[in-house]
Amino acid sequence: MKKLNFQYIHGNSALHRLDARTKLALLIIWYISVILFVDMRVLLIFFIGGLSLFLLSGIPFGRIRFMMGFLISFVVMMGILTNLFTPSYAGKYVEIQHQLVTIAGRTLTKETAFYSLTLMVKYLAVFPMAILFILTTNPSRLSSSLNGMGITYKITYALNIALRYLPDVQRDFNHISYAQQARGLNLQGGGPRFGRKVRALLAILFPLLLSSLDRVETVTNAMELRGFGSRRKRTWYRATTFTSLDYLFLGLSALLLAGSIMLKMWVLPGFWYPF
Amino acid sequence: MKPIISIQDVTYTYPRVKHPTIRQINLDIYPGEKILIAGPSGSGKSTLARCINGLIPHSYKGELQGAVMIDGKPITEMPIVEISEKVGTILQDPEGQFIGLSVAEDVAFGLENREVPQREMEVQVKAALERVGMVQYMDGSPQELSGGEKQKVALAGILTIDPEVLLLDEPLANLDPVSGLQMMELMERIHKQAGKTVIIVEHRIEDVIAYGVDRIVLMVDGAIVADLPAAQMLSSGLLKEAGIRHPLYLEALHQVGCSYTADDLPLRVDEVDVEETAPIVSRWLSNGENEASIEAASGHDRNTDETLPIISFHGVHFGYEPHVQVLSEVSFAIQPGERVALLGHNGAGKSTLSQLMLGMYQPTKGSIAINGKNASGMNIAERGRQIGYVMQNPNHMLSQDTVLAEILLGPKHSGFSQEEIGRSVDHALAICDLAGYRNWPISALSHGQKKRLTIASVLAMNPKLLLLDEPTAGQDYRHYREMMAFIDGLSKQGIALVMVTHDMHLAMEYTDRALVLSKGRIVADTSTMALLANEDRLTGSQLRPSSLYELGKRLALKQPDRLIRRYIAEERKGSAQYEEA
Amino acid sequence: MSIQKQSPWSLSTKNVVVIGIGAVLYGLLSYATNFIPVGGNSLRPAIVILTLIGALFGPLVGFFAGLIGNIIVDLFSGQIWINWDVGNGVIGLFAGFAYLLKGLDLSNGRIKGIHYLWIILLNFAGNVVGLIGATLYDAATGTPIETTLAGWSLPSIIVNTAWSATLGLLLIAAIAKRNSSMAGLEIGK
Ligand SMILES: Nc1ncnc2c1ncn2[C@@H]1O[C@H](COP(=O)(O)OP(=O)(O)OP(=O)(O)O)[C@@H](O)[C@H]1O
Ligand SMILES: Nc1ncnc2c1ncn2[C@@H]1O[C@H](COP(=O)(O)OP(=O)(O)OP(=O)(O)O)[C@@H](O)[C@H]1O
Ligand SMILES: [Mg+2]
Ligand SMILES: [Mg+2]
Repeated sequence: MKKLNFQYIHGNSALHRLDARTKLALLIIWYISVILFVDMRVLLIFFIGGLSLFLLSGIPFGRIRFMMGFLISFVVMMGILTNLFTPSYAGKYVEIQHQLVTIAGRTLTKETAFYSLTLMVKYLAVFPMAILFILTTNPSRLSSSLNGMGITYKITYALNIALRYLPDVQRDFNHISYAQQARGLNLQGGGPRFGRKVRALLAILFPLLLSSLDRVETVTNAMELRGFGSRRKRTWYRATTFTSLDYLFLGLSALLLAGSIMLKMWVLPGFWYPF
Repeated sequence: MKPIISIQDVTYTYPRVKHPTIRQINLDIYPGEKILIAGPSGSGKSTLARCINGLIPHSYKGELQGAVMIDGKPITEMPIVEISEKVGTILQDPEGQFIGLSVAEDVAFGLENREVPQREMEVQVKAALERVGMVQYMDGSPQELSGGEKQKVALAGILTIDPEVLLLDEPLANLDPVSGLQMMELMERIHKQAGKTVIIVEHRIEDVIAYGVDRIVLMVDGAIVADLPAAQMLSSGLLKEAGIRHPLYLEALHQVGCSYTADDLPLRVDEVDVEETAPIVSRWLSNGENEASIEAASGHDRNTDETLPIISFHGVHFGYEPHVQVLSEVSFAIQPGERVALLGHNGAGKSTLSQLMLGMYQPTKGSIAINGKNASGMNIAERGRQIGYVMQNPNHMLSQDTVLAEILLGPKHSGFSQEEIGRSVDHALAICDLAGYRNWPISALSHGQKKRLTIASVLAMNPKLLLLDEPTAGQDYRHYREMMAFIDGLSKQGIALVMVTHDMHLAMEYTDRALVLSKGRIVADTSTMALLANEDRLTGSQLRPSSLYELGKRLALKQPDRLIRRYIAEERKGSAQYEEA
Repeated sequence: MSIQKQSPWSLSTKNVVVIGIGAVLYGLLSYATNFIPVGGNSLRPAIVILTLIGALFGPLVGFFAGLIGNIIVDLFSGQIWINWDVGNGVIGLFAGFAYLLKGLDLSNGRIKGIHYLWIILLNFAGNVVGLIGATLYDAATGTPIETTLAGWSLPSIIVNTAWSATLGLLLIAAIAKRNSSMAGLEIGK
């Protein structure tokens, strides 16, 4: 297995310096706001706004090209499926629909086609914020932040353990595979690609599970010997604190939320289409 | 004085196991004592340690009879946290106990659990890391540390908690000679300055005794057979009876004919009485065989005619990360039947080099040839037929469920007949003293047993080149001797042996040629004997001559290495007789 | 002596560690085996990790192993789908109900034929609830339910259940056999 890496990039931009809790709040508010609208104009603003935040963070675009491509193929497929299964879905929002094409007795309307475009932009609008969160939040600070939000430390510490043992389990995976090959098991050659992969996986899966279960014992013992879980609370060596920057961003996020809700209620309640 | 730890009539049976693993243990340990627990691999040392730190009965359920008291309080009535405040443990497996995402977080782990405020934690963590000399690694992550460094971090972690008792299960097993000394020195400092009680489980007893212990507790087959001050224990001969080697210089003095009582036994090389001993040793050296026969007995006839090397490296470079070179410009070749030691400090790149041989990684520059053919196209399976590789950490290699299944894994794929397989498996099990455990699950083996299992499983494959990464770490002398005698026999039949080790005497006994790695470069490639008699060369690479050499120096012998040669020759004769008998 | 069945609802240190390491296994293998992409999702053989972890340690552990495991996949792939994270948690939760079945005790190797049937049913139910739940959220945000069902839920439900019912049961049987054979150990001659 190739060494997998998290997307997180070290850095010192404003976004990097924000507390994970602030970013999480911002992310959730962004999700809610995007979900509220079925209006292409607003969604485009969110999308572009998100992208510009991304540019501000100083992370090169090349870093997300692959994910962007993946996402685009995903939304395109969703668009196609929507048109295929529910060619006149826009009837939910508009009374009169205009026919675009009719195939095999099913009529695709212009409105539905535009609706699926809107949907695609909607998914795209979420993306910049999500990727920003992942690119700028050090995973190893997540557990203390989540604990600070009131989630019990036993759950958030499980996340820490996951991060800690990720490289080890990955190395176990490789070593088991090497050790088996060194003793004559041929995991590399022969057969079609897919079958080969499944076969290799099966040979490694059971040993990997066993070694992981053993690891559970050792780690549990080591943690108990150092007093884990004995109290209702714990402190964190790497705890983060709120700065004025966090309060600023929280304020802005609250404004964003309020603005979105008012806009939705009084100005742009429904589906917008240009014809 | 009241004992801080009192073990009264303890018998313990692991869940699912029929008979008790330790039986009727009685042991009192007083505040401020320093104790060494010794015993053959599998004798129950780690199990006893688990009774002291409360893992038995709190984590290992099983059946515990008798009482363990800490400070007068029964362990069954104390939650494990309370025990951990009194007893700080370093476990035998240095990998599993590193919990934090970075060195600093790991050291802070115990403090975090005790709700120490962040500011205060920072101060304490720094102080503890300074004490073990690891401050510069503060932000490093666990994967970037070598085995020895992990052990130091673990020690810093318990120092922050400041327990009264330190319990260390084989702290030296993975350390190079110099780091081993540093670790013992550190322990001694903590013991002396802070008055801590220290309990050490260790096979490398020479290193432990050199810094002084109050008592040695000897375990055999789950029972304590002796509990004596070091000098008495050594003069009683009980250790040797149990299959444990005395410090090397003592063995040599014994061989020479010096005998000691508990009162005059030297516990360090520099306590040896020169005036009395030097004449005896010189006489011993001058009578008996002449130079040539010592030479002949001390090694195989080296294969000097140039045949096709089994494996050769040509200007190999390698790094795990693009900008960090781990190996640079490594070149060497190994002929059939050669016996080579691969030496070097912790983190020098020995294990990395071994993994390149097997093809687990590819060189970034340079090339490797196997049997004269460029190996870059060979996959691991093909290389595995030539090279039998035993990894440093047995847990990285064991993948099957039971002992038998593990050993069968290789032969099953090798096209041997059923009968041949059966024979070679039985043989391998016997050599590694695991025959009684063939149906045991691997997870119920002791650490040393696991290591022997990896060796057995490779021996069962009849490779052309044996590549052993620290084969004897964590083994007692008897097991070590039996395995090495067998492996030595193989190399007489033309199988090449490459052995990574921190044990200089082992290298001298069983290899003819030594490759020394230092910071990823080969800094020496000579005869083992010549290397190990060259002190400057050794210390430059964080290595250290054995105590035999030091004895020679103390006695002001003109050629200290002659003593070593002669001693090895005698020992070889002795073991040949032993085998014939 | 055999080992007592633990309470599945406590967050003991061991359960915390199982969640963490189970999540690593699930996340890593999901990401490593996404060579079978279907729509936005992938058909993961790794789902059997949840089947097994659930049956071994119970619903609570199963839920968080699924949830955190999928968060780890998110961290690798750079996208966050909270609803799918929760959906994966629900799969683990249902897989964990198997732990509560009477007479089933994997750590001592006790399992009967009927239990296998139950495990298939529970895993199927978990996939239905978890994945349809996740798509309902997508539907609530405006994506037609037909698209979400046909595009993501149904193929995943079918394939995941198939993995659980084959490879998953195989693993469970193997673990049970191993644990039952580990009794009355004796050092042989
Ligand atoms: N978890 C376990 N379950 C069952 N049996 C075990 C378990 N751990 C160890 N044993 C058995 O108990 C015996 C003593 O093991 P222990 O680990 O105490 O030995 P040790 O003296 O520390 O050996 P080593 O020097 O190899 O570490 C061994 O025979 C081993 O097989
Ligand atoms: N998987 C890895 N990824 C990154 N760096 C590694 C990895 N394994 C080892 N290293 C680094 O490579 C260097 C050489 O390590 P290696 O394990 O080969 O040393 P060694 O000579 O075997 O040491 P020891 O005597 O402690 O076993 C060390 O600095 C180590 O930190
Ligand atoms: Mg041990
Ligand atoms: Mg090494």
